[in-house]
Amino acid sequence: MEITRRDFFRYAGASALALGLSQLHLDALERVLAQTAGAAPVVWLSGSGCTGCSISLLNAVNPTIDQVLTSTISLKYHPNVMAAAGDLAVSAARSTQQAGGYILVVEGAIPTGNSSKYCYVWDEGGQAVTMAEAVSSLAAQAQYIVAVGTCAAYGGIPRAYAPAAAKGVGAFLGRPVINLPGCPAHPDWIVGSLAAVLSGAMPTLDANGRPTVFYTREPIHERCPREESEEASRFGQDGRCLEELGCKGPRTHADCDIRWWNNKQNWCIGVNGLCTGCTEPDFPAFPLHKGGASGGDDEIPVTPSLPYQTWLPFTSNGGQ
Amino acid sequence: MATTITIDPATRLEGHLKVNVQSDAGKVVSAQSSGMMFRGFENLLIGKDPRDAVHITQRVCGVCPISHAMASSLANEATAGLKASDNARIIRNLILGSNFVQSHILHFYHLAALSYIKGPAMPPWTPAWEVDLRFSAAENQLLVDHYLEALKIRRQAHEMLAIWGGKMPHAAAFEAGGVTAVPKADMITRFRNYLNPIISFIDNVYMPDVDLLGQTYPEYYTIGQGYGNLLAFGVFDLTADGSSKLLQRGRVMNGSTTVESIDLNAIVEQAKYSWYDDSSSGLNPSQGVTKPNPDKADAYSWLKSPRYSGVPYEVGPLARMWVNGDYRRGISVMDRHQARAHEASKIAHAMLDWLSQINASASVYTSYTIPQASTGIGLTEAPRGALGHWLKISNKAIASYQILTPTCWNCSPRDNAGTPGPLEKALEGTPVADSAQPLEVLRVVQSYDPCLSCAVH
Repeated sequence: MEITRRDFFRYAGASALALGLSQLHLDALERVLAQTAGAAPVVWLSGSGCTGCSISLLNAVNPTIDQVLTSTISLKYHPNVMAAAGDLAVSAARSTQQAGGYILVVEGAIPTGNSSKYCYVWDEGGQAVTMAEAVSSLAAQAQYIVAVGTCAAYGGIPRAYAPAAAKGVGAFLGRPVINLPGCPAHPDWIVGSLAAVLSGAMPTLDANGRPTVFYTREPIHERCPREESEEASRFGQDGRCLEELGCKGPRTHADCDIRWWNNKQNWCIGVNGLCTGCTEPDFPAFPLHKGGASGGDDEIPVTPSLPYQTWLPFTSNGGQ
Repeated sequence: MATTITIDPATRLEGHLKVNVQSDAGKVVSAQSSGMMFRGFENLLIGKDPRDAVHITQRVCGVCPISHAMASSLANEATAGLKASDNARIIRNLILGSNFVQSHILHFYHLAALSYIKGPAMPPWTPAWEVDLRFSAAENQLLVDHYLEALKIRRQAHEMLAIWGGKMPHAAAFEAGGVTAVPKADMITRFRNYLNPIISFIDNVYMPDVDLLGQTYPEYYTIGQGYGNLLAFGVFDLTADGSSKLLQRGRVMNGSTTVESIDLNAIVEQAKYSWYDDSSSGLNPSQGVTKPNPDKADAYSWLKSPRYSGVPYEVGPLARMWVNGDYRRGISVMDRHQARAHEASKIAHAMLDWLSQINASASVYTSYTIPQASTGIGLTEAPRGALGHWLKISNKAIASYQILTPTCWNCSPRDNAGTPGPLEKALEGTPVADSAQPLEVLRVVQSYDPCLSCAVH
């Protein structure tokens, strides 16, 4: 039986990734759970975003979010789920900052235009604190910094409104961070990466700071089960290649075709929908649709990525 | 002598909200509601392909993206006088209904409940304002168990959604002209297999828990009443022309049972106390512009002030269920929680019917050609209330895109006449036992299920 080169890569890649992921999850989590004295403290800041990445995290399976919250991390600050509000919430973030040894997770972009007034995160002593100030101060004492979602990684959609000058975390800080883009980020990418960091098994990162185990070197198109199917001429045709309608699979690095979404119920291309390239630094790369006269397609300048090289091992301070 | 109390961040809601209240003799006398983050969707969409808006506007909000996909699809289709097929209408309703159900369960257990119950003894459930905890140890444990079970149920509601939507949050299946998902028998079976246990959870766990909350905190049936003006654009079209909806369009004033019609021309967004140029204030969304001015003196919010004939209106499940005649017990903090739960049940049961209406061989997509120049309005509902997209196309590109969201109605600042927004009004009279732990204020805020990313966009 003849196997095409594409078939071979698809099968080999899928099984390696599948094995790699399950090993990553099991080994990392067992080690983490074994040292349950002091689950790793996490401060989760929310900037110019939509909360979609937090909702996506709630969709985690194996482990589920309750397992993550009770066994894997100690979520000291998260405005959507934490019990505390106001001053009590702010003091939870600041006391974690003072103790050090925490992971700073950022969701949403950091607007820097007009003195960063486009996003305030809290009131401290009667003064409104901008997202920029909060990220700067909390980053200084963080053991690791993780940018969850394309907005936090590269600026995302907020970057398309120029006056706000919205930046990703790495560009804002001028320091290497772990980028987990996606709009939203897949819960497996978030939980798997956090587990790897916590166990000391630092993931290999690509030039855009993304763990290659999830953000694959080959774009989706090279493994896509529809790559050799008939081209769709319009939406609503089942099972066809969507490249002529605007699918960005050929330039998108993610494992959606293997992992699928929402506990493997489906995925974007699986419902004959466009891949919008949401893991890429230039998302949204307008236009998303091809074919049929469309309006302007302004180029959105891509913020050059920082090189990601050496990493300090995570040292648990026993948490708090 | 009034003291000002600030809650910032107001937590267990979506987005960035600051609430100030002035409290005198243990009661709130006035309040200011402030949205604290701006991204600029209405500006960044100008010049873009109108079809792209269906995907981009979903990112206004990761909790209600489907509603934006729906409004954007409808607005695009309206520019071309296009009606999506019955199959597309039904599949859209299933995707949207799945998210309504998810959102309401998430809101009650994972956002609102922690203002009444004590969670597990670790972050993020600690620290907390441990005041006014009235449940017995056994009741508290039951509600915590349900909180944990609800984490699974809402995840499963998103899985159910993704069968048709592809991915959630931010679904790929919506396009101007219909949906992309072609129905197959196994998709219908899997959806039903998810839906039945969710219906059981809503009817046998969620609704009784809301009753228990109301019995334990009965004064919250009188706290947080607000103006009593309720508005709904309506949602879940049952016919191709939209004339019959599961939850109908209409509005009432002062808690009346008389439902009046909606004239879209009566809607304006004022901006005197909002961080936008005054020149942009008082416009109908069809003429609206968004000109941020974060340095504007006296302004205190990124939300504009939507008003209908100059009057503030509340939107949301209570408004929809009231207008529809399904819930008219009262208007208050607890009535909002009740209406939300009743609505979740109504929608979940309806989805079982809709599943059986899918025609496996009928079209899901009708070709949409962008008009050279046209306007179109897409009206629908998000879980939090009435939602509209106003689209103007010139040279086949977006010339104007104005979004009017539910939380903008509910959490708006004072308008040009100085009239407080619905939440600001509802907070007046709220008791505050301890100004250092103003939990009562937070309970009123959370009853609206605020979504600030939507509100500002």
